[in-house]
Amino acid sequence: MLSDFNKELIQIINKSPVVVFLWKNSKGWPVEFVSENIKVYGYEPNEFLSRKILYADLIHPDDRTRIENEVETYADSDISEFTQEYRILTKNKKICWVDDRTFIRRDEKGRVTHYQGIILDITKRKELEQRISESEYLFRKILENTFIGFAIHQENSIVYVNKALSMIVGYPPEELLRWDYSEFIEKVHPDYRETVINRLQIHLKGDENVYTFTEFPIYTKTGELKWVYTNEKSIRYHDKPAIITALVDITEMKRIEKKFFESQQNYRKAYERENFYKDLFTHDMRNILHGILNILEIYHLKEGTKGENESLKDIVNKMKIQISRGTTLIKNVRKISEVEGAGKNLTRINLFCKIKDVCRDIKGIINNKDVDISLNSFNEEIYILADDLIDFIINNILMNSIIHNHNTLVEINIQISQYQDNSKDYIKIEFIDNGEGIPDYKKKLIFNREFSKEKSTIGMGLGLSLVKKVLESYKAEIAVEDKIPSDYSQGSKFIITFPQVDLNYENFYSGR
Amino acid sequence: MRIFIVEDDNIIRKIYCELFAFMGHEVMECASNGEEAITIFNNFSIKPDLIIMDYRLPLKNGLDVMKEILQQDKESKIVFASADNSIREESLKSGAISFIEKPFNFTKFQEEIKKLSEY
Repeated sequence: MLSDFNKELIQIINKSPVVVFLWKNSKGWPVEFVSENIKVYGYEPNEFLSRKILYADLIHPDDRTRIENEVETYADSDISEFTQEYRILTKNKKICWVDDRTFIRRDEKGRVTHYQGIILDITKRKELEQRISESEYLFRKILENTFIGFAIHQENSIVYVNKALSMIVGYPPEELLRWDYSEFIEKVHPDYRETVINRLQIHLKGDENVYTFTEFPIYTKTGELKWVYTNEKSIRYHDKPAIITALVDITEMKRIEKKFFESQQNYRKAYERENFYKDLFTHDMRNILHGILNILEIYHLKEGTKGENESLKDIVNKMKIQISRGTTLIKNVRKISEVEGAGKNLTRINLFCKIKDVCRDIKGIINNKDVDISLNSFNEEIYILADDLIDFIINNILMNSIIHNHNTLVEINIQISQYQDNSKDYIKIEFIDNGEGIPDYKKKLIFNREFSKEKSTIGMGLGLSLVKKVLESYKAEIAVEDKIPSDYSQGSKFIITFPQVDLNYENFYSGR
Repeated sequence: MRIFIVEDDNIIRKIYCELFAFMGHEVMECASNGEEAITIFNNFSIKPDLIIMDYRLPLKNGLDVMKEILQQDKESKIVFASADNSIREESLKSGAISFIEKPFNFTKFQEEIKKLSEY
């Protein structure tokens, strides 16, 4: 008979989630006592007490061997109690995790006669643990396999880095984990260190709602400069304030961005150039046609008047000049596209011979003016680096001197000399003419007819702007002065300076 | 009619002089850039009856020159003669009495001037 106390105890147990068992130490662990609350698993106590069901039948088949082995081990040892966690099957075959705490009963000879224990349903805890474990696994896998670098900075040290971050910066994780923060800052490009430090200061305040984003270049272990994008946030790590940084290598993106920007710039320049050419043609051609039209009108008005023949000769000459202007304009516009590629394939050219050739060609073309071109040089073996456009340059300057000259005899003196500046040798060519000269305000403008967003307000030739552009690609310079200082009307002096080229001119390229 | 020519193209300037002279007008002065035009205008003791103004000029464009001239003498009659048609509207709005796009027929231009003398 159970005492009143035992009865009350059994009532308490039956109302608790704990099921009490008394198992006999026999195969399959026959049950000699089980509390009524076994019903929560769908079984009746009698099913066990009548040995219709052995306790081993309850245990999930995948866990059964493990449990049997463990019990055997515990029984063979001198311990008196043990704990196990395993799965059991409810009556309707549902799986439940249980925590089993068992006491071993032995006889006077120490042989195990019974096991007395309690089982507690821990399914919910196990499910939670499983979810946490899966989530941790997933998180770990993500951190290990992502291309995004992660680092945790705490108490002035880097306390966590993932593989991606190590790969981006080129330092092994163990080396990174020895760094304090200043060592990391040293790897940041000097121009960006202050920004990175400022970001750190923000997060040291520990506000977990603040995110910062930074882009900066960083030196890798091999000295390569990589652009990274980082996102920083304050967190709690191991119960202490920390800063987590996510870092992405954006070097390639930056390269593409730069290329895109350059291509956009080129596109814009091409667009502006196209507008410039269009505007140039429209404006200058209209002016030339305007001149021709008005000259014809003068002819028409003077028709039948005195001195008609003389007037006709004059008109024809003026028409010729206008047609020549139109032809030059067309040539120059065509020349623009060549000038764009100037300076790409420079070769060693004998400047003295080149000038001589161009002078000879010009004298052959000009037949309505007397032209005297003299050439004086310190040496006939003068070399510069240039390309085919050098002919255009010499031709343009000489033709300007001839066209803008009202004297019966056009005189052009070409002087070639040599000088040193800052231990470098230069060749100076002076084209001195007796033409109509260039007023001071025009001297500043003649080389600068360029395309821009604003329409040019300078109605003058394009040739000298092209000349200057080509010369720049040769590292040469051009300037204009009065032949007689302070009296432009006596003629002009165009001065071009070239860097002198030694025989080993590859050196010139390497210094470009 | 006394005419002041502001035109940077040497040849066109000379042709204008010849044509206006042939038609019995007096070309008072010629300017080849914007600043020179203003200086010459300010030095006129007798103002011109008509100013022929190009737009694209060195140092200062024709519109700015016109504005400065009109500030000095709002009665000045300025005819824009330019190859750049895009400034037609702005030049008329800013005070030009006429805009003639190059190339233009000078005989017709002469008729235009006659009308303007009655302006």
